[in-house]
Amino acid sequence: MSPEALVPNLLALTAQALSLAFVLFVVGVPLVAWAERKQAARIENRRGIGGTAIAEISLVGLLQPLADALKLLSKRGPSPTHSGQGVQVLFSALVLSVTVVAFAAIPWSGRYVFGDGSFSLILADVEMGVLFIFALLALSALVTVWAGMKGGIRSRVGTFRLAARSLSGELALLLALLPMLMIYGSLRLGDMVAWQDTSFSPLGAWNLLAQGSGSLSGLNLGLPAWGVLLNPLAFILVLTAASLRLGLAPFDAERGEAELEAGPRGAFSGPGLGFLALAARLELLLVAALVTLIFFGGWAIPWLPQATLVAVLAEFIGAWLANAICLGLHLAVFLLKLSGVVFLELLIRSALPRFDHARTMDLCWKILMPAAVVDIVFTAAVLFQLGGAPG
Amino acid sequence: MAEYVGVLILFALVSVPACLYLAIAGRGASARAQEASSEPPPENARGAVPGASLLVAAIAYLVLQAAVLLLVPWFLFFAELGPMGLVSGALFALPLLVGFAYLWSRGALDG
Repeated sequence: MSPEALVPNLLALTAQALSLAFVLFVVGVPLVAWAERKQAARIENRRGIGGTAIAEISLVGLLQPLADALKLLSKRGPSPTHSGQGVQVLFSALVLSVTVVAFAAIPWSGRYVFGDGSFSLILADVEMGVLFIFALLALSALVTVWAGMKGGIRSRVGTFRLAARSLSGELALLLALLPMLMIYGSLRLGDMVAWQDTSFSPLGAWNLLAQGSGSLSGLNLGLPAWGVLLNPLAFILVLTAASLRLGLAPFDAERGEAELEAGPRGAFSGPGLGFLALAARLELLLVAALVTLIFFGGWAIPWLPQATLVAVLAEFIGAWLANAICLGLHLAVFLLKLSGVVFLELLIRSALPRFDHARTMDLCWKILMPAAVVDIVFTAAVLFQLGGAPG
Repeated sequence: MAEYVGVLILFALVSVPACLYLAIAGRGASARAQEASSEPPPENARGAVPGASLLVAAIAYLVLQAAVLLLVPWFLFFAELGPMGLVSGALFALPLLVGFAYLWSRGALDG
């Protein structure tokens, strides 16, 4: 990169990073927190939030997450200089930062051509996308465990459990994801979505059936080549393992109100606790984004591949405008699918009781991992039979 | 490496304000108030030692995770490797699966 291009490029990257942080903190986290409380209230037949008003504006409870955040952030935190907890209180900032940085590798749209250049809504299109996110999540867990070990005895007990769950969950998650890596043949999330932007006939069974019946043979009943349809078992395993790895409900025993120990969170208060709560909401959003990209085709519109959509629109309104409309449409589709997955995660959270530590470990080592190995063998056999990736 | 510049910028944009805020929020809190409001310090907490479940999980994690990460490139190019690739991958994974079965049979994975 030439020195003349460096400054504008840095400015553009800073603007993109600021936009991403703004969207996550001002739109993403408050909406997730609001949806979480509203949905839980609806399921438990309560009225839920909605009473908080600023200048007599309540916005059906949308301001409640803002009020909660202000309450936590306005409390006085531990003194970094007097109490010897200087490093510890900074851990919460590090956990939050690392979680936000993981979103840099999440693509929010495809790549579109504008004139001589191209544009994509992704901050860092790293080749090792999935492994990059894994590495950051591992770092986040390591920092959380480190912080918890510096707390009191109750904090330590919870931290040991969290460490065991995180280690086990990470392995299960990676094993559960491997069949999808075999199918897509790439670690880049954008490539995975591009792969799913097509249709497939499930194992050719329908075609065989249709050949025998003259009236059905003309129908094109291909399904979108989404990961969830190609390998539903992997979807269930990944969703479960990711929830387990990140300590999302129902695997968040140490966060339960009835528990004596709060895990590493017991070592924090005030703003530090607020940062950890923010990071927890962001992790939920991150898992939802990963699941949407890997299993639900990301921004891909079923039966309408990007190339076809742009070509059809370009005939009427020109290539530049066609790409711009396609970008907007794909972003809307991705956000819609993301909302659906977040809703599913919240539904699981509300519907299932918390698992205790022993049951969580049993589920991870005795059910998730063997099932993931079986899925790998099955996927390998099918791919080997097909002589390559299907689709 | 150019794509990681954006990552660094985002990290700086979030971590620096967050750290500064924590430093400002903790200003003025005395050590006595801190001790009164917090849990017993770690030196009084010698009873909290890691359980066997954590140690077994940690060891199994180290072995299996390293093996799985080594296998990631194999999984990506699995379709192009042919029958020899399948056999070599199976030979690599077999000892791990045997070890996993041994841990399970000895009850080491019981929560």
